[in-house]
Amino acid sequence: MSDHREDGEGLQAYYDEALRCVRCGLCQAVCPVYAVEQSEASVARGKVQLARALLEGRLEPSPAVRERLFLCLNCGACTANCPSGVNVAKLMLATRAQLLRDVGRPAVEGLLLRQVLANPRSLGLAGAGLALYRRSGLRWLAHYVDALATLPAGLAKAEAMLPSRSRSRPRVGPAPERPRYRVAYFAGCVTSVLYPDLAQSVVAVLRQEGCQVVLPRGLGCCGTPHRAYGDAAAAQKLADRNTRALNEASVEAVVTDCATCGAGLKDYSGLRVPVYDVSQFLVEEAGLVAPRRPLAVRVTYHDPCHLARGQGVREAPRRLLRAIPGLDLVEMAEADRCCGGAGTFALTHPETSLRILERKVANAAATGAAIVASGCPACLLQIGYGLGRLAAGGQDGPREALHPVELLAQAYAPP
Amino acid sequence: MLSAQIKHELRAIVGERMALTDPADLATYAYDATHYTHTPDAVVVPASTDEVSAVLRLASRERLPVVARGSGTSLCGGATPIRGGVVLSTARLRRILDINAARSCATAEPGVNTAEFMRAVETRGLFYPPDPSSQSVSTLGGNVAQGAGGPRGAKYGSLRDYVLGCDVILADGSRLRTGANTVKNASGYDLTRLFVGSRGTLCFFSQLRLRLLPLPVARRLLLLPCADLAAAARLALAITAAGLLPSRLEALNDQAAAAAGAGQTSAILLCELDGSAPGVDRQAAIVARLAGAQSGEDRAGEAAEAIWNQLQGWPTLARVQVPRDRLPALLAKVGELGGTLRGDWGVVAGAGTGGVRLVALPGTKDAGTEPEGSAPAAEFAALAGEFGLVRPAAEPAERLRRSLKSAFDPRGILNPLVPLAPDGSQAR
Repeated sequence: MSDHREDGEGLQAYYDEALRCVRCGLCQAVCPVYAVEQSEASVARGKVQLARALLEGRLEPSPAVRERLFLCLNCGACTANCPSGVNVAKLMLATRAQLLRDVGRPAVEGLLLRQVLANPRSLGLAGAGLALYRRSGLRWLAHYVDALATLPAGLAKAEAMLPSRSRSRPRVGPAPERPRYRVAYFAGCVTSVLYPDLAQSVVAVLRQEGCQVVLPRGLGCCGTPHRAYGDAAAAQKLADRNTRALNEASVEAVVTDCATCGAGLKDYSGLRVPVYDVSQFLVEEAGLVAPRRPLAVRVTYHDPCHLARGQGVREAPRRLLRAIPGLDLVEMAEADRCCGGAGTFALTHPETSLRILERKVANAAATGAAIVASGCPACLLQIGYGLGRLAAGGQDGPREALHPVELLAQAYAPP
Repeated sequence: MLSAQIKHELRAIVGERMALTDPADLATYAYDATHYTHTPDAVVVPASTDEVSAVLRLASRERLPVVARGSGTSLCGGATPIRGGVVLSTARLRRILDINAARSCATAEPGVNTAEFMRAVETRGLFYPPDPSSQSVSTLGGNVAQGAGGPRGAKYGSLRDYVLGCDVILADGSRLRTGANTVKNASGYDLTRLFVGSRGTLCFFSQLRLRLLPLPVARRLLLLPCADLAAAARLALAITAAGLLPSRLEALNDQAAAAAGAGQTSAILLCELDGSAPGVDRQAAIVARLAGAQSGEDRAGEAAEAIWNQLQGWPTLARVQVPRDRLPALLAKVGELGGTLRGDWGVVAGAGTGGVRLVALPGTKDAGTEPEGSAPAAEFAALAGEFGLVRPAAEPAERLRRSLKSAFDPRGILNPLVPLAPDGSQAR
């Protein structure tokens, strides 16, 4: 994704990428959306051929084409498994960008991306609002969420998916006397708004490692949603702003707990500070301080797409979990298969998302684990929702979804 | 372009959402794994035999071409709507209806995924031998329509030997049941074997009755390093000449061997033996003696499966079929093509079946960048003629073929223009 051809040259620059597809159709074997939808437009080959048809003038850009291009989780399974090496993800982003120029987008999508996500203050307000809504059931917020989700089924799901904890910006505490590292913590939108406890855990474990944690001013959304929606200009603006803030923070590393933000940040071209996923930083860079307090619990780990395939981080979170005394880590089947959350996909395609989620939850439940760990708050949101449904249906299964760092923080905490 | 009336009738048959006519959808059903592109006028996704039958009645009345489609992995244009018309998808005909161990038979709908079917019968201690390389995504209906099999054909016979019978829908929408659910069924015209491999030109398959075998108790994979592809083919001939019948014999060139994770830097011969445990061990000892100094390692279980899975992940770019005793000569020639076959393209030679595939290995660049199929692939495919594929005389075969076609499909609506030449060499 570090290729930014789409910013200037448009889709034409990707014609070779589209031609590289030999149409063997093997992506059908790994695509979670295809497994549910069984339609050619739902799988990578179909989407690549849509891009090619647009490029060859055999197909007019239309809202229908755009809709089909968004029937995708951006999970990268097709790209990772393509025998011909087609970078489907890159080609899709360029095609979406072209369609945004050619046919525009629904107003609510623009509102969400350009107004809410791009603006830290409104994001904070949205977070505070969501927290308030949970407690008071404010009706205005229902309208707000409705406007974003556009679909009644999406609304019901948005509400059901909200985790039950809430607070905002983490407390970083005083700097340690002789800090081993000075690190910037990039708390993404989902963590900031929905998982403040997770943010606090990240700070706690970093401090345990002797890090001075700073929260640079002026950070906003990482821009990945904007790029995913084809809005490369808005994505670049956010990237520039974050890059400036992080470069000026005089830190040795940027650490994030969000797989999607991590993948996005690692892709910034002007960033002079190395970016780490929090598990990667703890295990590979800082060297994990052995936690003492045992947690006698069986855990299974779900690989977030943007961590496993997006950043190649698979081992670090597992090593982190295995370091916790008493913790029994059991692998689930298809651990790196997408959970179906995929940012807004869960809201825009609730039925499909749910069926993809059911397979994930069934795989997790089959391990007999009590907890599903995953290194991405967006996955936690989706899987937590699935576990809640499982419990509501009276079925046995894991009881909660947690970030590995939250378990580590528990194992560090004094008894 | 279809009239509004016909679109309306299609929707009435399969439901609003299952009759696709938006150009965005049509563009995604305009191809299969070949380089041909022809846009259909509609795509319908029926959920039952009744719906298929109704669609065919309508198509027959309107003389609309109909092309059945499984997962679109055909390498001969079998699922490409060359003359437009209606693509009939089997995506909602995906049930395994019965697995009957006592009768050694299973009944399934055409849209069932091949690999899923193989796994399902294996959990019952049964074995479905036809193993096309596209099995992870292909469908039983597509396999049967194309007569698609794989390397196990050398020991177990072709796909035709495993289709006991089928329910088909003819061009006018009428139904026909062929064969029986018995392993022996000898007299009369063998319509089942006529339909298998007919590439969608004679009927639509709505149910398949497939023959099963007991799952072999033991299976071992021997990895035999060889100087080059031709040497691997000679070793394969020596193995069969010694009276052994391996369940799979595949020769890989050095690039393919490396990509398969065989831990070799030279060409290799993969030799899979199956049967009873002592029988497999005895055969393995003989193979090791024949391979002599070349004798390599051997793998079983998941480690062996991992190698086959790699092979199945490589898309076929071109295919040549020759009598297997001609393989050493052919493969020597393929070795000379090395320069033309740029970079890291792989060659997988069915040393048991005589089928040779040119494949794209992971990371192969430019495999599909030439819209009309690549020149090396065509050159590769041209070798078939040179190496003795027997082609029947054009007449009277062609006249009989036309008579057969018009007897089953008088209006010529079923997959028109799909080539029916003996499956020798198709450039993709």
